Amino acid sequence: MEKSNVTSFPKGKIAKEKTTIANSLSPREIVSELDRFVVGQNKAKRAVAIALRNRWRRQALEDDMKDEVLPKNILMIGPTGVGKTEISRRLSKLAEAPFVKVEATRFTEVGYVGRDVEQIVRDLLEIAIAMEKVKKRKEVHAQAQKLAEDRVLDALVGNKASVATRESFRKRLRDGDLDDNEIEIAVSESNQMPSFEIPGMPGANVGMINISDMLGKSMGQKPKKKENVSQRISRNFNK
Amino acid sequence: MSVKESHEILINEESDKLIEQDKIIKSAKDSTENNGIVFLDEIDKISARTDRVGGDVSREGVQRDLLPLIEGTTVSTKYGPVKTDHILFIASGAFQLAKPSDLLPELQGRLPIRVELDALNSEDFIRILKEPDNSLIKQYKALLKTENVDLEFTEDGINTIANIASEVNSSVENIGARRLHTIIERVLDEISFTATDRAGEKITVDSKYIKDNIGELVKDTDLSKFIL
Repeated sequence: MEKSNVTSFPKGKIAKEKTTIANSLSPREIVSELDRFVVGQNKAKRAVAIALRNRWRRQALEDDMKDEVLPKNILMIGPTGVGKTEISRRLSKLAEAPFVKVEATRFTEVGYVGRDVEQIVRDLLEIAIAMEKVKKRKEVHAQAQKLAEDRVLDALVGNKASVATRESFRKRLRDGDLDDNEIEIAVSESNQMPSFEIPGMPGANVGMINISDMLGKSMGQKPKKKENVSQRISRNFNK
Repeated sequence: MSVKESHEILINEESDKLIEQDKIIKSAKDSTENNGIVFLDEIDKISARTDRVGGDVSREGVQRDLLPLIEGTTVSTKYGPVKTDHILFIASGAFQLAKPSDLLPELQGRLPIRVELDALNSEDFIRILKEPDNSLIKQYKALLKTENVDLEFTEDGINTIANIASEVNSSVENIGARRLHTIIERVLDEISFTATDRAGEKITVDSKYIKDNIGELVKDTDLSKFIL
């Protein structure tokens, strides 16, 4: 996943690059990591640790073998309050994998019988996307920071200011001198399109997607909303 | 907004511009298909119970819906199809009324690894109170620390809490480790209420203190049914 600039992503390559810290955890390490949060229940911890490790093992296999290896799903049996949910919650953090928890009973409510169990997978994908975004954001953080700084400077001194002024402000900005000054910047609204599902047609919200994204891209991400208009800074600093 | 506040917003916005949405979706799909974990809670509640007839929606139907998902199918999403073959499913249930064998045979076959979790006894409770990184005791200490009150649990205090918890669990209803929450909350009720006025004090919770506070409740099963 790290900063590859290739445009086409060969599948096997992705898998191999997906070596995270968790990848180095042996089943025993997973168990001892779980021990920090859940007391006892060693059998269950072992089972999930093995299952988790097996996924990483599978990632390392050759492609044709890889498709054959199916995950061994787990059934945990035990009275309430003994740590079933807690184990899986902690596990998901360890695994750094997309994780959803669903109550099976959700699908029995009257009027919702068998309500689209596929929604589980859609939720999972949404979570994966969010995770991926966070990861990517970290990768581009340095670059984004620079751009953000430029925008703050634009707001502070305007883009007509001389290089010298700009640089002096940049220095003060980095030192944190200007932290409390008010500026005005245009921020685009979070573009959550309202999407709805058409009953009986799972996945039918396809039609609604990303019109805002498309428009945004073609028009160069126009800012849509101005936030908090209070421009004291120009007076304070134009000495 | 202030320069400081703007920082994070701007960074997020700029990085969003740098990120290619398509690539994110692609790798997110990949990680869903290969690394996704689905935790199905309360699976025993959808098993068909023979002793209960009518008035209930078909539980078996749900199980049948789940089958293809666990077995591996392709789900259409707004980002395109996602294969579920390699998603790991962890199902869990208490199975107090229903048995695992009450599930559809097909479903049982697709959950090949069975693990049993043991009911907790008072020794476990002691460990739960003391050992985990952010154990209940540590949480309460930290909470009251914000009021400048030093909370101290003695060894026998912890033992007493654990004993009461397992006692109530066996006499009333077994709700596992959650019982500790209700009991500690009861014990510390007075302290939590008055802590603001008691800044600087050091309060020690020992066996006697606990018994003074909830001892009566524990003895009276009827009462503890409602309160603990």
